[in-house]
Amino acid sequence: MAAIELSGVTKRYGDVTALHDLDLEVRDGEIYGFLGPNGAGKSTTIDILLDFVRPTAGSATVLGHDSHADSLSIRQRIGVLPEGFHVYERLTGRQHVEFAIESKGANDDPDALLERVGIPDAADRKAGGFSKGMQQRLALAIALVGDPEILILDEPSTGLDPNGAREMRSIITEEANRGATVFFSSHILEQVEAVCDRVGILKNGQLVAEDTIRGLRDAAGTGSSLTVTVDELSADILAAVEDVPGVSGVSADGDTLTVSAENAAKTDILDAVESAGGEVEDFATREASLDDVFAAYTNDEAVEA
Amino acid sequence: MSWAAIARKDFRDAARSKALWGLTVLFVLFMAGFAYLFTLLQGQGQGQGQSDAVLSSLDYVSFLMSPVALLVPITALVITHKSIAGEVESGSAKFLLSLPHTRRDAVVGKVVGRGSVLAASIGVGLVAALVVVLALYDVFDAGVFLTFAVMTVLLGFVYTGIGVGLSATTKDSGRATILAAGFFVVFEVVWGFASNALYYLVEGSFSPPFAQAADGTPYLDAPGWYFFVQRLSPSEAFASATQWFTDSTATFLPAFDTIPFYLTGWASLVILVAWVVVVPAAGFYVFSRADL
Repeated sequence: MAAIELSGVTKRYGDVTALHDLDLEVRDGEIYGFLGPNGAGKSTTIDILLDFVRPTAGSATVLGHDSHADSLSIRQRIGVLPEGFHVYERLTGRQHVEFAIESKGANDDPDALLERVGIPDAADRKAGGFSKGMQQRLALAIALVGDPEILILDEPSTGLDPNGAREMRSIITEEANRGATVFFSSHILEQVEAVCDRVGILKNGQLVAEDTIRGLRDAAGTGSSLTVTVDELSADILAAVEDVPGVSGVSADGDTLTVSAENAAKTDILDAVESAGGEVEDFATREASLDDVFAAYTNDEAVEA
Repeated sequence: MSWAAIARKDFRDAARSKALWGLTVLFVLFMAGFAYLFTLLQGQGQGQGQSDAVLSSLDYVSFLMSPVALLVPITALVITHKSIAGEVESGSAKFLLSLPHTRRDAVVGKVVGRGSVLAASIGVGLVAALVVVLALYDVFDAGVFLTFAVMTVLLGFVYTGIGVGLSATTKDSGRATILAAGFFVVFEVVWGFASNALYYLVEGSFSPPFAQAADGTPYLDAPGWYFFVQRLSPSEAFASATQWFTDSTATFLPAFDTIPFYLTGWASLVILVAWVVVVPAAGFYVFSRADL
């Protein structure tokens, strides 16, 4: 059974389409990374799963239950770290966790949960004084209450320092080892790379790619991109660069080319530019970013279409 | 019973706020202060030769009725008008509703939680007033005082329900403030004119004529619906019900030989209960369909 399934989900706000005919399946027990730039529709998707918003068309199920009609039984069995949440400023860390335990009828030890997420000192402090990182850890502790079957984490590493983000990932892995399905969204590639079994990429409300981490790496090349500025960019140069083996994507802006490619192809690319009559004025390489992955996938899709 | 968890959390949250303590101080000063002020006013009257000015808790209740009918609605609306809209706007609603609570539980829990906060403040104020009354007044009628206490707490819950219900209809806390203020203006300030306007439409004059009772006291010679329309306002319903249940000797509405059922204190109670049900229900109806 699919842990999470969306079929044909469209969400419009006025004349803005946030999600466009989205199909998505998260399998039982996997860690699914939901990637996309800000505004791609990730939070809208999660909001639909939680019945915070209702789809204009299509349907969503979580653990086989309809996300709207059976929302209460869904939320009884899942743990959520919402995006853009706000703590109750006058309640302490422990009171927050206690409220979640009481709400779910669970029997966790609030102090043990706060310890696990790394903020044992925050138990007796009012949450209004928490840093963003502490709030995020508190929200994770709340999500872990009652050993949920699915963890839905919306941008979980917001406000965390690298160390905190690593601890977050190790908790995610622990939960998956316990048997939980984990669905988490991020706009940062490295965070999903480290832990996810599969990744879906959302762009402009559509799933543009869904793949394993390995497949994603392959598509993004070995993880770098090259920008080349030439004296005068021509169609010949563009075609020559596209033909270089190992190049997965090329885009042009003025006289600057941005090329996603394997590292080994760099010299070949510069050679190709020169032999097509271009004069290289400047070039730089950088690590593959999410944008490059997008470029790779969206270009592939354009070819298929 | 998920609303009970929300109510407890809300109460705990408020109990740590300075607002609750400020509110309690306000009610103590107000209730006990007026009880004391009333002894001064009556004492003055006695000095000027008014006959048999006996200080009774019933007089105190009558004296306090109008200010209570003003203060309780205002404080209730102040502490509730952002209860739902503010949570949705800030994002704490996401935390609340990602846990297994329905939106109905959220509305009911807020009404019970904030209503209890207000009731606690009113309760402390009433106890302080009770001390003053017991110490300085000649006549103390426990039944009268208790009825007044219960009715005041009920009015608090009614306006808590109204405030939470209105707050549930919007996710813009600025708009929630306007709704609460608008409700107060319409039902507490302008409403008196509504029955007059209706009277004008039906009878062609703005105000019903005055007549004189057998003992010479003037009274308004108006049809029953005129009084009924006036009592649709929550604080008017509160005042008429409190009067009905505390002062059995008062000459109610001499225009009638027998009081029609819809002008009895029981009818006023029904109006109050209707307010505390209808507005939160309407708020829930909008809230349950809204995208957060």
